[in-house]
Amino acid sequence: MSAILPPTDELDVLVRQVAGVDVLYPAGSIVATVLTATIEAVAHRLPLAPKVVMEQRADGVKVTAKIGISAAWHSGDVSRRVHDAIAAQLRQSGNPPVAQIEVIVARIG
Amino acid sequence: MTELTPADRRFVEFDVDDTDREQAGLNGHTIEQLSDYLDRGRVPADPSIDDSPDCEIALRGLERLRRVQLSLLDRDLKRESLRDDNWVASILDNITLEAHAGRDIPLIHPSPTARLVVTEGAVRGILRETGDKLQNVLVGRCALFGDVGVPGVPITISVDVTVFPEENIPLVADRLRQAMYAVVAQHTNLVVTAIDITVTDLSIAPQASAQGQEHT
Repeated sequence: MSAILPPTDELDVLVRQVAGVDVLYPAGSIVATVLTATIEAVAHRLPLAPKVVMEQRADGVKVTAKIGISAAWHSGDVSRRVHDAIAAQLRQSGNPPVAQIEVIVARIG
Repeated sequence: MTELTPADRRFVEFDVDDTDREQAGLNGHTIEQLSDYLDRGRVPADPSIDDSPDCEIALRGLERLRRVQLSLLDRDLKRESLRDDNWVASILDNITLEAHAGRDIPLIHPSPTARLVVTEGAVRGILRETGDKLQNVLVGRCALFGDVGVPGVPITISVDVTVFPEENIPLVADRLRQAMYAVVAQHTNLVVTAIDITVTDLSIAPQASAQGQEHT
């Protein structure tokens, strides 16, 4: 059983800054993402739901980031940089041990 | 060393009957809805489309198909392209199916806590784009065969293409194959043993086509 940790856009900002990352997609469930976006749209606010998802598992924190990259870059290089940036951030912020950092390249080009 | 597909071998069909997966793949949207969204210039913005990589892959495929259709019009080949209404419909179907995220293809990282993957849909998308970018070529279908989820396991790629006039087909196939090998190497750690290219459609200039008919 895992719990979604309180949302923070800190990791979103970090991932977007990684060279080669073109787009950051919501890593959470489609239903939750669309629901949040719809509520925010009705309220005439910009969507606030973070796209990088962080979960607390029994063995530590699991972070998932789903990205789109430009065709000029290498998927392996970009995803490694995203992983390393998240890992460094988690170490710096004193989060619990990392169980897994998942980076999904969902679109190229 | 590459292998060529025997002329009588067709692609294994996608699971087109799996409508749940199809709808989930395009975030609950149909290709027609995405086409309308393009027509509207993506306004008003729809987060359920914009936040979906599968929709984005399908939208890009649609855009390239439209450019080819416009190009055909410019070259007065509309009549030729319309000789078979199924041609565009078939490509649209394949764009829809191939945009699905599909299987996860692992990317190598030394950390035990790292799980890095590129989706099969992203790879099919960039392969399709690579083919469509070549002069006088349009990719009809693109599929990865083999266990892409296990690093080092040999896989093959099969591609159906339409080739437009004034092209030497063996040269086009060779250019396409080399370009696709390069893209796969750039974006995955897959071991590709063959890229089978089948030219399923030849578009012939109307004048030549008409002359051909006169002689039959």
